[in-house]
This record gives sequence, C-alpha cells and structure tokens, in this order.
Amino acid sequence: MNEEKIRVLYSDYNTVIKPLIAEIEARIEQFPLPLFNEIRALHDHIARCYLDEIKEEQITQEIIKAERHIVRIILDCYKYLNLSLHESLLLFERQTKNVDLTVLKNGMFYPYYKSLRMEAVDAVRKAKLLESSNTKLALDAYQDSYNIYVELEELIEEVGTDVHWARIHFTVHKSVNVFLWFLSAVASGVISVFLANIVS
Amino acid sequence: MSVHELNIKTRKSLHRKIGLTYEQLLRMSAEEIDAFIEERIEKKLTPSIFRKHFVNRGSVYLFFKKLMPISDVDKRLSKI
Repeated sequence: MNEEKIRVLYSDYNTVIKPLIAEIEARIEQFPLPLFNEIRALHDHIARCYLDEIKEEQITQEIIKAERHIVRIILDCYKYLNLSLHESLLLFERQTKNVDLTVLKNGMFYPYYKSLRMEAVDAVRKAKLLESSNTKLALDAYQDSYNIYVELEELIEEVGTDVHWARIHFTVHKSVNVFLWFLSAVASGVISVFLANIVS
Repeated sequence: MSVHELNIKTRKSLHRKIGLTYEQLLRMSAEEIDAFIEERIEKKLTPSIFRKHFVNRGSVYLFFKKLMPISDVDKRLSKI
C-alpha cells in the first residue's frame, strides 16, 4: 500500500512537476531555486521511508508530508508561471501605452483582450481563495488561470505585426503634428512681423 | 491517486514554449531538458534566488542569502 503511494508521488513528480519546471526555466531562463529546495524536501521524506529501523506508521507519516510538498511545489509552479505571464502583459501594456489598440483586427482585438485579461485575474483570485479550503480545486483553478494567461499571450503574439505598424503610425502622426505646430508658430511670427512693418 | 493532472491546453502550451512534446518531457532527464533549453535560448540557465513580489517559503538559507554557488565553494577549497 505504501509502496503504491510512493509510486504515485514519483508519478506526480514526473508527469506534473518536471514539465512545469521546464516551462518555468524556458520562460524566465533561470533555475527556480526556491522550487528546487521544496523538491529536496520532498525527496528527503521519500528517502526516509527506506531507513532501516523505520516503522510502518512512520512511513505513512513521511508519505503524507511528501504529498504536502508535492501539492506545494505544483502550486508554486503555477504561481511562478502566472506571475511571469502577467508581467509579460504589463510589459505589452507599457509598450502600447500610446497606441490605439481599438483599431487592431477591425476593432475585435481590444474588447476580447480586456475581457480575457479580467477573466485571468479573476481566475487567479479564485485559486488563491481556494488554496486555504480545497487544495485539489485550487490546483485546478491555478491551471485554468494559467491556460487563460497563455491564451492572452497567444492573442498578443497574433497582433504583434499590427501593433508594430500602429506604433509607427502613432510616431509619424505625432511627428507631423509637432512639425505643423512649429510651422504655424513660425508662420504666425512672420505674419506678425510683416503686419507690424505695414502698420509702422 | 494523483493530486493533479496537466490538461491538454497545458500540454500544448508546454510544447509551444519549451519546444518539446509532453511525451518527450516525460522521457528525458532533468539534465537533458536543461541542456535542450540552454541550446534553444543560447545561454546557460542561472540560479534564480529571488523574484520580485514572490515570497520564498521556509528556507532559512534563502532568507539570509546564505546559498553559495558551487563555483564559490571550489574557489574557497582551493585556498585551503
């Protein structure tokens, strides 16, 4: 029975934790050391199950502690991923501060982006609330929020070229406005001098 | 029973970001995955100890910034 539970722990590590950590590394291009510390703790509890003098009840306790670490690691993986994705959103919003996003994709982009963004944030908040009451549901909720954030990321990538041209359009438009203002200032100065000469 | 399972959307996203299918990730070792990622990003993965807004949990060494990279350990050993 305990052997089966240990097998499940390793299966959870292989099928859930290892892939999520690979994604974190691919995104932030760093080893997430706090997660590695938790993994060390997880394996320590499993290793202790194989100590020479350990009793059956103690093995059960070690497995329960290991299971808690598994849940903790997966929760932390999703938090890392959601944070990284949210930061990408904030960067996109900073970079497009002066760009009229409502014109992208014939006006379809911005309303969808706003509603999906709100959905992602709500999903994270729901997951946080569930953490203290039902960790299984919290894990599913964090995964849902991660899926929505990824959808947002793909949406932004789809309009990448259009945003680039919209930024150029904004820059050109602003430059033309500045030039015209300057021209009008010079023209009004010249006209004022000319009129002053006529009057005098 | 497993505590959690990655759904199809998550598995697709992993493939998109990492460049390996879910099945490949399960078969490869952690070192092999890291080597693959390093080749893709064209640089070595470095340790991330602190992320802004992310509170570390239960590690005294991390809290007091006492984790030493192995290169530092080797340097100090060579001076003994």
